[in-house]
Amino acid sequence: MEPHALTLAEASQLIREGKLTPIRLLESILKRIDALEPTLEAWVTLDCERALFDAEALTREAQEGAIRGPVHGIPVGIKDIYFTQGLRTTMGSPIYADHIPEYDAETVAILRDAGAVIPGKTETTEFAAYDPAPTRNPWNTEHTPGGSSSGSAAAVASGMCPAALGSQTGGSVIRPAAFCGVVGFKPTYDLISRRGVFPLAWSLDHVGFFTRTVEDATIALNVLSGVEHRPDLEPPKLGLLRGYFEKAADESVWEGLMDAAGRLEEAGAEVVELRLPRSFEYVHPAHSIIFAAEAASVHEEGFRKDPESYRPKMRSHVAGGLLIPSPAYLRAKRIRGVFALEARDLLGEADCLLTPSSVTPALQGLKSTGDPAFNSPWSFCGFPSLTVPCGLTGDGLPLGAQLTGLPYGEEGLLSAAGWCERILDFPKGPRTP
Amino acid sequence: MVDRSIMERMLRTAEERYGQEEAERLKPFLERLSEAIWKVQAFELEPGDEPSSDHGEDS
Repeated sequence: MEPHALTLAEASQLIREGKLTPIRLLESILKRIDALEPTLEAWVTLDCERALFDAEALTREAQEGAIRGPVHGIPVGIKDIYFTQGLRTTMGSPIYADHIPEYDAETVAILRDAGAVIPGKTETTEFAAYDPAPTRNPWNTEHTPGGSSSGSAAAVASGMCPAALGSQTGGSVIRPAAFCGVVGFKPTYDLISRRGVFPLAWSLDHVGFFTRTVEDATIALNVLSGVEHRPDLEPPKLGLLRGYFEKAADESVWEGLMDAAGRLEEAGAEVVELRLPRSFEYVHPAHSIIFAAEAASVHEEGFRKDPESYRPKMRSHVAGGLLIPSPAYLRAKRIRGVFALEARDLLGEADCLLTPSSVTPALQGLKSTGDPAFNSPWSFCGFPSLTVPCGLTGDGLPLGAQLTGLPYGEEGLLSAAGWCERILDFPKGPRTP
Repeated sequence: MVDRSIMERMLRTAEERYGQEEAERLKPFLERLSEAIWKVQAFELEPGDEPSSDHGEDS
């Protein structure tokens, strides 16, 4: 097997055993990027020179037996809203086209200290909002990979890196991960530092990441959070949410989830149907108010100076967000508190909640990155959520099952996800478009 | 039944701040936003629904 096709855990094991060097792994990854990047356009900036330099140094360390940890020598893609010292960070916007940060985002610094190698920065929608990136879906290049973390999802799915950082304010990790047939994980709000990550709407923004397996997601979480999570794979009690989700989902999406739920139940999971709480009906409007108001606050000054430099969707969010009356914003935040408490009660009845990861499969064309409506409730209340691939549509596009747990319940969520992944048995190898 | 007065107020302010042309461009977004505002106004909050934390960790 070519090294680019290894999962993070497999590559890590081989490096520890001295059977693979970080430089050999990086060379294989760069070759893969060379081959696929013209088609997929997942990267904004590549940093081959520094990556090769770092991989050489990490190879020497490994040969001396000094392995820093599980991401020693592992290439990790970084979404282009994370500051990287000395490396262009554009936020997907012409305003920051030449922006070179003076420091690394805290997560980037943690990864570098832990021995990760950074091949470059991955494509994002403008300011991680709605105006799309040029990236294409490795499963069908006529379709969107989703967004906002478009490049990270496509890069991991196609074997251009085994892991990549993304971010989620609405559905920017879970949805693209589902569209690209990989694992996407958005841990609890504030569990992982957002320092040095350009904000979109700060009280909704989450650090998240993409991998091809739940085991890899656990490794990434442990490194980034500094906490050792040790999930054990037990059949979970899954709280299936119908109601809104069943009504809004595309037929192929709901059928895919029902099929997956049936297979999980047959294998020993308990699937119970739960009712959405009274506040759920208000979650989407409240989320959109907070999103627009906070984005407007972040961009107020830049927008007043040069509104033309924003692409249409971001410009509407900033211009419109500046008109939101403060009582509406505060009311939306109070609704968030109510929903969080009601969602906690709901999670008293199951180990985690089960819904589809996206309203539709990956849409055709690159004009829209899809609808985040199934993910934004969990960004709104800050609960951890994770998607595991659960099947394919008749057209061969991936579908995801979204699992949501209690705040700081990452270990339980990973246990459930790892067990579901084993039963659902989706191919883990990289996708060649 | 959506309260149109929210939309009308927002559109008026948009015209004053950004001009007629930009306000017109913003109209579909303002429609959605004003509907969201109208909707959250309809949610019945109680005095106890004021958690000290943004994410409902305390109440």
